[in-house]
Amino acid sequence: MGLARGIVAAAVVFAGGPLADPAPSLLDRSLRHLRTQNFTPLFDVARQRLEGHFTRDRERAFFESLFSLSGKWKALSRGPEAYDRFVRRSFERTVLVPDQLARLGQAIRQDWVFGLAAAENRLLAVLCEDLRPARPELTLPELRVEFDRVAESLLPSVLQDLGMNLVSMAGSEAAVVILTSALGSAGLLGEALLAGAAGGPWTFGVGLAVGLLVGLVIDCTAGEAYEEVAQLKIHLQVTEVRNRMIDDVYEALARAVISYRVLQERCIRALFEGRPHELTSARR
Amino acid sequence: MSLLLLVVSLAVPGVTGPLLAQSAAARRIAREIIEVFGRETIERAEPRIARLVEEYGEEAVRALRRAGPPGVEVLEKFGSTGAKILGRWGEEGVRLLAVEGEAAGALMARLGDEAVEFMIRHPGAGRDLLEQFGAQALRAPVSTSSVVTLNRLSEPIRSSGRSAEIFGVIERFGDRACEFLWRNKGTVFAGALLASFLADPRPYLEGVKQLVVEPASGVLAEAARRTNWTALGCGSVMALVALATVLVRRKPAAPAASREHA
Repeated sequence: MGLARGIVAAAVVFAGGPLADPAPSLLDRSLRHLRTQNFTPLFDVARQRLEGHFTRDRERAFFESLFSLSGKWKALSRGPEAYDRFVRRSFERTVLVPDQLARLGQAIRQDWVFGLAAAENRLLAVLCEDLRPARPELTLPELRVEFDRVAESLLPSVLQDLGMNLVSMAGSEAAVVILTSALGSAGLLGEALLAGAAGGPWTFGVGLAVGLLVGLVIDCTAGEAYEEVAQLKIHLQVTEVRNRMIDDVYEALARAVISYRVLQERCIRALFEGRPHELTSARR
Repeated sequence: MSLLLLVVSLAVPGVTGPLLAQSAAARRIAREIIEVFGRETIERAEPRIARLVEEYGEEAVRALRRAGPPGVEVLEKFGSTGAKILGRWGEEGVRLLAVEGEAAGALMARLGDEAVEFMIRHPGAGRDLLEQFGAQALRAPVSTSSVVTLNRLSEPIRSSGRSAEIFGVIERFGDRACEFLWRNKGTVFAGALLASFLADPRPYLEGVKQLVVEPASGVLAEAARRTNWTALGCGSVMALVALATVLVRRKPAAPAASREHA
């Protein structure tokens, strides 16, 4: 019995492994850092910018253009398609204001670029450290160039895997291409931008939302509704358009963040597995 | 708030007159600001802006005019420091505060405007470097890659005890100095070599002089210079005395034992 106890005790002492978890590999360390990046502030700033664009003054101007004498005359005299065009144009001129919307889009894009640059700088520092045992002479500028090349090579496959269309923009960084592709896939960009013009206007997908307004305005003018009621309805509808824009931008940003993370993860794996050279030589 | 001020002003008119006037001015400015960038829920935004204007005065007005709608939440969150950052850097300030959070405000309060410029110029990496080296790092005319490199070298730089001089060299030679430090990180932070490099960095950076660890001269001489020879000597003598005592006590024991057996 004593012998059996001794054998059991010896087995426990000698055969048992260490109780603590094994230290994570360098690859795991880099990936863990990647997963702790926080992009939520970008969503908040985008929301604040969009909310600030919609003002009572703009709503009032829209309402006045529709319910002025000339507006009412158009409602009575024009056919449905011509009146639809008039409402859309009024909405774009008074509420959306394309120039300001373009500036808003540009600001959101710059927020995104700044946020991702901050995250990427920190990631590259960790990555360079983790790659050092295998490549002691690798400097940060060299790693950055290599990382960018790998990202450019992998980007089309990442977007394809996530069901997004690649918006080809020559000379642009992967982060900008990802955001543009995400916005394009969410239907928030005009044709000019989808064709590759980085500075083009954003439409924020308002074309669809404005369709709702047209029907409402026709009801209000032709249905003898009181103007106060019409004004309230228009206010609600403009708020609806605004909320829809915010939702769409959130969705696009979420897609962009996911794409960016997947891309970075694949880049890190490629760098650890020593594939960047193959990738870059294949591209050449 | 206005109601409270009204009640108090009826009770003590001479005292609260200026307060009411201030409140009215804040509301007027709030309305003006809302007219500039507007909000959908004007009734809800106005008291928030008025409160900010009352609290931070002209700074808040300038900040909100420059930063637009996102400025309201930033001011509510970061207060006076946020107002200063937005008043000077507008949208870039919003971006910085959104990404770097309270650390950016704290660094601005500690190091001034230059810190904000540095953090905007070097997203992410700038904040990390300033948190470690403060004002020393501010004047480094380097690229963002070099700032990241310096973050990675922070441990040897700090433990060398000569970070001010190292950043002095970086201020003069910029990215070249950072690249040199990184390439020679295994040797350059050793005492004598670092002293030689800091005394005259140009030949090293231009490749005229090489960093060579010379066993008999450089490093050993530095080690010899830093050694406390008195303590070492005393310690050695004491160890020898102790050893001799042990040996002397052990020797006579053996013959005595053998005699007893015999």
